[in-house]
Amino acid sequence: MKNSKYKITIGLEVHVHLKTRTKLFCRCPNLYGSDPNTLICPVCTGQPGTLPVAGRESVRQAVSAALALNCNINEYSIFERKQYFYPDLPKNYQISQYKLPLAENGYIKAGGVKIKIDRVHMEEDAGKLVHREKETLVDYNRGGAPLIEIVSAPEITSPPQAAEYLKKLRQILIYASVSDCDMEKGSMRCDANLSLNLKESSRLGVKTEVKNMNSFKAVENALAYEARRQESLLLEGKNIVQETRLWDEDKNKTAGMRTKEEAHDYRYFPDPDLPPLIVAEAFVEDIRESLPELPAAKMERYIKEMGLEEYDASVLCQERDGADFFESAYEKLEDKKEGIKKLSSWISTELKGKMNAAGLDFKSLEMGPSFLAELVNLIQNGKISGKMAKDIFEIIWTEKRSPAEIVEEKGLSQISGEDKIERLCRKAIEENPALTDKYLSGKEGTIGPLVGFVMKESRGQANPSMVNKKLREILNEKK
Amino acid sequence: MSRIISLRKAILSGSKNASSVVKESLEKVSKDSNLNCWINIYGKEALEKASEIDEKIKKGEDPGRLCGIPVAVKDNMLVRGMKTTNASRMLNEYISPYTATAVEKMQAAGAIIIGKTNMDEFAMGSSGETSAFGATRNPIDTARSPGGSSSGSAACVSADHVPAALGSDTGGSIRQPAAFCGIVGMKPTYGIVSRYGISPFSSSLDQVGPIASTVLDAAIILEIIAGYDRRDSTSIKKEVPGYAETINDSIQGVKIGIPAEYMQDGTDPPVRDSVLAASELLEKMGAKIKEVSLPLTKYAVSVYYIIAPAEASANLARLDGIRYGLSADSGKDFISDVTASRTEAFGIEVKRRIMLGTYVLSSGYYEDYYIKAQKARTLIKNEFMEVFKDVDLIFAPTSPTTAFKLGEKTGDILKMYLSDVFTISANLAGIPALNLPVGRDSKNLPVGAQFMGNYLSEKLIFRTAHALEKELSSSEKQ
Amino acid sequence: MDKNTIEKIMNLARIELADDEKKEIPSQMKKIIDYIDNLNSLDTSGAGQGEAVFLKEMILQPDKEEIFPDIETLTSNSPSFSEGFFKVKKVL
Repeated sequence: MKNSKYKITIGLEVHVHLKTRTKLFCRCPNLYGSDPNTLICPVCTGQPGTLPVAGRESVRQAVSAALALNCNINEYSIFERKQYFYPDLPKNYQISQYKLPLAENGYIKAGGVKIKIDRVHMEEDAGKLVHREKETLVDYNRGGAPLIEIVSAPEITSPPQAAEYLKKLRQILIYASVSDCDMEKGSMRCDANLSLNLKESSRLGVKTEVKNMNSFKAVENALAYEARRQESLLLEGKNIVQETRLWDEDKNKTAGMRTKEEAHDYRYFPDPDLPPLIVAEAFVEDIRESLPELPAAKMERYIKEMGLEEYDASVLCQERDGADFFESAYEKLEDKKEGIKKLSSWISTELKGKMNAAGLDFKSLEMGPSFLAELVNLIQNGKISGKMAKDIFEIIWTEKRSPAEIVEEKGLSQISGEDKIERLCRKAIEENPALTDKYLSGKEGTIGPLVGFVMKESRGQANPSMVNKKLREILNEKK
Repeated sequence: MSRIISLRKAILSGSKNASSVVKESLEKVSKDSNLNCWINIYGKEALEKASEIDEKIKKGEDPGRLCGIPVAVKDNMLVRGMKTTNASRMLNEYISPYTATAVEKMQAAGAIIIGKTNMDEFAMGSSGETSAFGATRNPIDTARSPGGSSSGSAACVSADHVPAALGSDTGGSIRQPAAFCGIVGMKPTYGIVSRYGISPFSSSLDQVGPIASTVLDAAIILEIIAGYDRRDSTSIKKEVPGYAETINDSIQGVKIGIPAEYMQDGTDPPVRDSVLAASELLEKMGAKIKEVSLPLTKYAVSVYYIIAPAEASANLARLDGIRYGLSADSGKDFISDVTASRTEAFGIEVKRRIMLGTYVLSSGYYEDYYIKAQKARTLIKNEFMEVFKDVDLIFAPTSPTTAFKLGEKTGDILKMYLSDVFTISANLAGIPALNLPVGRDSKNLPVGAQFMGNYLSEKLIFRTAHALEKELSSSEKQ
Repeated sequence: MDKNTIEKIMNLARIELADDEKKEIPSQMKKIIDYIDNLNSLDTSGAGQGEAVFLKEMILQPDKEEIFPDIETLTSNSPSFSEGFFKVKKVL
């Protein structure tokens, strides 16, 4: 959309599945991946006479999420019935929040821009539909699972920014331990509203709603497609039809839903089965205090207090588990000031490389952070060289043993004793008179092969910079 | 003055046993099949339960406060393994997968469920005539309606099939049939009896309560079924006081108000006369009677016929023939199947109320109707609270008329709706109210009067009603 | 209570009316609505925002799973339950 006369306005509605043990309004297990219709009860299948009873943990996690998104929590909020007939909705209404949501007026910073969050509200999930050729199968295992819906203000200005917003949102909610936000598994779902208007106009254009995007990339692609589609319609002088369009990943395009678009009239009204949800200030403060440090604050601390570069800090903060790993390794560094840079690069390159290759994440990682700290310590105090460290790391990775133990066992400790190095250096000089003479005559480049000789003699265990220094010392005496 | 206590005594002393009591009850039920009180009878299961109780008694185990007492349950309450039809073609085949909390408590106390009673379809009606299984007949005059919607529960107690039954009251559905059938019916404070397992009509108005032949029996049943239930978010977390233990205390000095609006031209003279005569007896026993005013009564029917259908339209949406219920094949698509199922299964009154409720909630009307009605409801509640600053109880007719003839009002829906005018307010305000038979009209049909009290004033209501009941029966004997 | 309104309500409520009902119900509904309109003469200012009359605060429940013991009765009430699923005609 470069050089276009239109600008894009995007608002995102994101549904996130909370990580409670039970469903929102009944005590069925809140699990993913069980056999169909095995996690159901009279309440979540809408049997006559059943009543919803809200779980404390769902409320706690929803409040955690809202606080992590910088929202104001409403002390008094109301559950309402959103009515429409659909087979995945056992009561043919969904218990959701409408007029008085749990939380409002938050924001997140994505790509250096503050994006406003209008509201965060709680609701129950619908069941899952499986479409066959002639019939649709309904599984209510997911029905009634606790969700939060996070509604952004229509302030997102490009598809990449939308993806950036989602990534940030995901990162924050995983940090807050309220969801695993897995778009493929459906624990994070995103619908988008997109409209175009002339750059010089402040009036928003007609929007379309885009659904069925199952990854961040899909969101970006779908929105980019939809923006182009709307632009070409507008350029042709045609009108945009307000409708819901589905993203087709394979065809790489959006298509209007074929069903007759009925004017929705959800007939919301307060659910008479549920008294108001009162979230006391003390409850909120309690949750606020127990919230973990969030990525933005963590990054700032890494930069300001630990002295990391912004890029390194952002890589380390990407995931909470990774940051936790980094921090516990950092605690064990002997020389924190000097070792931090090395530790950060070991985590971001060597360790992550191995993890990616093995398909592991920090949760499933068997190697403890203390091993990496020890390794950095050994490098820092000159016991091993960087090259040796890489070899040792290989052994740690496969054998899960402490680096000190490996060094000791294999006799790999770097030779740094002055005497031993001096002895080897003198030997090198004695046995290489030609090189020595050249050096003394001013061709200092010959120091290289002499260092090489010493390294070979020490089977690689000498500290090369010390060797270099010692050789020069001895040779300079001879000048 | 308690059928339950005397039956229990007979069973425990060995002069009767639970099995014979249940058998007797079943015999009366089958003899009176013309009354059409029952939708499904569970005789075999009841007899099995009875012999279990007899066994317990033999072994000297505690058989419970209601041991061997046969009871009836309105067919909108779920009892695991039994059908719960709601008197609708929609749920004709529905087998309850769990038991309602109130019923569970009755069973735990040793009560034996004989069967499920007839009612207006989904409790929508005031005459019993909207039942898909045909109207229930009033045992006192079989040409007349027993009232509704707990028609069968009231009729079967009145006909002495069982000493007590459970009913539900959304706008008078316990009290009005109790009045028409000449027995006691109590709608408790909203929230003291769990609604879990009661097919909802209007969630904010529905309340389960006892129907019995005496005040003491109603008090005993309510003591058993009341109490906090974590399965119902609207359930009140408070301990249940003993209603029966103080029932014989004096009513000296109890201040009772008679609302002028309930005693005007719209109320049949014989009804007014009986209520006035009863109030004189109350005064004789030491109560202080005064006239009070509830001017907002004239809005009660309007408020009710907005809120109740609105909630009902959502509550009944789940009946789509997918998970349970009648399923019709439209030959077209899924949506047409749902419409076909609902169209075929629901009777006209249910359709009318669902449509009315859908209308008042639809966009453009919600504020004018639903929100307006909620505000009016708050005012009605406040008006009661004001009156209760002045008096302890309100005493008034339960219905403007005695039992009307079957078919008499089916032609004029508005007239039918307006006949609920005196019972609706207690539901709107959430306060307790009890119907007590206080006399007979010239056709020997029972006249019912209700005591209404402040929140959680059941104890005072039972005590006062019990005193009046005693006084009435002794003056009858004279 | 015009024909369009009735059609819209029927569609929202998923209810069709038989021909005789079509004649009866709209006029009855109109009669009831006309009656209900007596509320317009009631001043409700100062009666709150229309919140529930006596519901105060929900009591939240602990996060403890319970398995419902009789899923079979639940599913056996469904006219279409088979292969572990409730079934409907294909939904687009």
